[in-house]
Amino acid sequence: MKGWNGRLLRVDLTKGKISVQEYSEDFAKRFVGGRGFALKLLWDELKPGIDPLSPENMLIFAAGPLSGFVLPNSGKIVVASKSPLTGGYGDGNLGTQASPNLRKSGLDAVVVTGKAKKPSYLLVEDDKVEIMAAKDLWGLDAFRAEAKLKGVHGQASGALLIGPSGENLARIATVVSQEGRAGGRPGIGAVMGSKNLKALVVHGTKELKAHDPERLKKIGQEGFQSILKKDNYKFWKRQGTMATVEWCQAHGTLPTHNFREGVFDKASDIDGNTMETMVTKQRGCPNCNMTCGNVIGDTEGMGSELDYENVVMLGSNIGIGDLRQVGTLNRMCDELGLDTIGAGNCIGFAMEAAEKKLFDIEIDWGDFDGAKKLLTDMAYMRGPGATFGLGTKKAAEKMGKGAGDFAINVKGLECSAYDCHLCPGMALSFGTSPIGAHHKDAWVISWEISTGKRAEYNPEKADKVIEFQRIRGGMFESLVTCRFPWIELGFELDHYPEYFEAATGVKYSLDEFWTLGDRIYALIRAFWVREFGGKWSRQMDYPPKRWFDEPLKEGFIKGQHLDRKKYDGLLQTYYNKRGWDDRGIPTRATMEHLGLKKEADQLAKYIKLN
Amino acid sequence: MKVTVRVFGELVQIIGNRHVQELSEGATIITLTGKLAERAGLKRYGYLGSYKVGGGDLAILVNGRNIELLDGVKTTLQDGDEVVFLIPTSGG
Repeated sequence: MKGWNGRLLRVDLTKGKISVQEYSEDFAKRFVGGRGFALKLLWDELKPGIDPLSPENMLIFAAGPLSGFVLPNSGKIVVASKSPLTGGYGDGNLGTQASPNLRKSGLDAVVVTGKAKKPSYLLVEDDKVEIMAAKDLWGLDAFRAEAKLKGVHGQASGALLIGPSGENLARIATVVSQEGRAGGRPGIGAVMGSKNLKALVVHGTKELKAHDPERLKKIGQEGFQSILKKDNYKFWKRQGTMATVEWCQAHGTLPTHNFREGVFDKASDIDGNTMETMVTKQRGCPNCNMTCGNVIGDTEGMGSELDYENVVMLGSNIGIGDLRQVGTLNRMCDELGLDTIGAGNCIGFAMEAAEKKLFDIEIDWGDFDGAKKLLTDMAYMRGPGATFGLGTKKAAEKMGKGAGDFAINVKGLECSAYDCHLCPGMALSFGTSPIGAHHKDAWVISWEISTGKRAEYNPEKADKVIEFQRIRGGMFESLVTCRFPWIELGFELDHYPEYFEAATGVKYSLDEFWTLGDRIYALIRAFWVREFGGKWSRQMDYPPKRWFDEPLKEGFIKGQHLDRKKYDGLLQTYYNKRGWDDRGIPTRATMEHLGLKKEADQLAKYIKLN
Repeated sequence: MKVTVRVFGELVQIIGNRHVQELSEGATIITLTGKLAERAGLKRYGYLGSYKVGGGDLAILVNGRNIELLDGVKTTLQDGDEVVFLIPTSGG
């Protein structure tokens, strides 16, 4: 095989056993890399029903067949596991030097099982792999721990690590890298902490072999040049994703006060225009010329890397209208290794619980000091943080008294920053996202609003959600390339099969990548169903109750809310188009058509397949 | 009468970020966009840059209300109105 290294590193932390496994060409071609690899390994090897924070859980770091080559926006890695936040399939991706380094060590993925007796980190230097003591790293925040590791292992190495929140098993803990890159929203950082694993440090120096290296180099360079020439590039460089604050405010979709409203009276104080007056530098992932991270000075004089999601969730959603204060909360999340989206949701949920007198905590909308304290408490799972750090779903269950009515999540994963009181297509995207509510797969809201038919529940919306899930959730998550060149600048999709062929020698059309996406979606759904068994229902694909039952009270779309019956109809349309039954479970015929016969037979042991 | 105009995204480069536009009484959105296009030296009728006025890719808000909920491009403007032009966003 070319392009792929064909090797997985396996580490059993309980036994201290390290081995390298070669994988088959069939596995590579059917699942490509990244999410595809992680999913298939979890499906094949994870015992259903295990506690996600037990040694039995698997923690997977997976690069893709384009990682490590000099290609546009290819410097990311997927982290995956059974989620301690949702109980289902969980993954995320983040930009990191660990990705090219892993591939240049001759590996494509690392599979970690077991639990180390003492805090440890895993060191990979080409063929040398060691489990190292992390005694003097445990307890350090992610920035300081990374600086220390790089001091020892060199600046050219890459590190993926957890902060205190992962160590303390906060269910909204992420895996972080490079002071601001984070991934694994469904609590993948807590899985890492449960294994006593502080970090994965990788330094690779081998040459990565491509099928056609000359061509790959040429088309890669052309790709970078093409991105620079895109019409919207200049504006993107100015504001990056932060332009969306103003756009969402104008369309009434800016999450405000725990998703009660879609407009915020201080939106202009936290938007991209305000940010432009404060930016000190820009940061990006390896192999990227779009540098979406805009750094500003926060209230404590530290640098904080902003983007739309974290600014809104830690800003308008909790009533904070001061961008430097938002910056502080954001930087604290990155240091502590907390998911900014989850944290903003949990704080908003706590503020509303306090307002409704359902929980004994003093915190009010816009309370910056209270938010800082709660963030820290969640990271250390102490005091009120021990409840809110479980995520909104479990915190609401613990609280009772109807608190679930204002817990903004799908399947336990908190919603990212788009209010959907009047966006049924985006609500469907959140509902059917394979990890719980997240925008990374089907970010259809801009399209939905631009059609001028945002209030409709028409079948085109189900088509668009599936189209985006195939492109982003299938192709990009498996090649492990960033979606931004395409979605933000219109960088053409046709580049990706070309890159894939030059790297691996395998010729896939875009349609074949869509089939890959469908295969991945069917198998992720099978994973959820295998875990939930008889408790699985189509209601798990519903967006938060608030969007149905509590109309907006402010803004130009006040009075609007989702219609449950119409949403259910749209969901059924989605199932029909996917070849899934009324329960939202892929039929046997669908699975077999996607090359998942063996997996269908396995799933049939847990639930009757139609 | 005078209306305040704000634009968004790459339209900023084409017609400028924020200005006050003088209009005659009874002017509509289409009158306003015609003036803006003329001022920016754009020649294609009914368009701002590559965006069709009244098309799906260009959202137009008058005092925060989308013109789809008003009279579309025939929405009549009043003195002191704020008109915002938005293209599909980045961010996801």
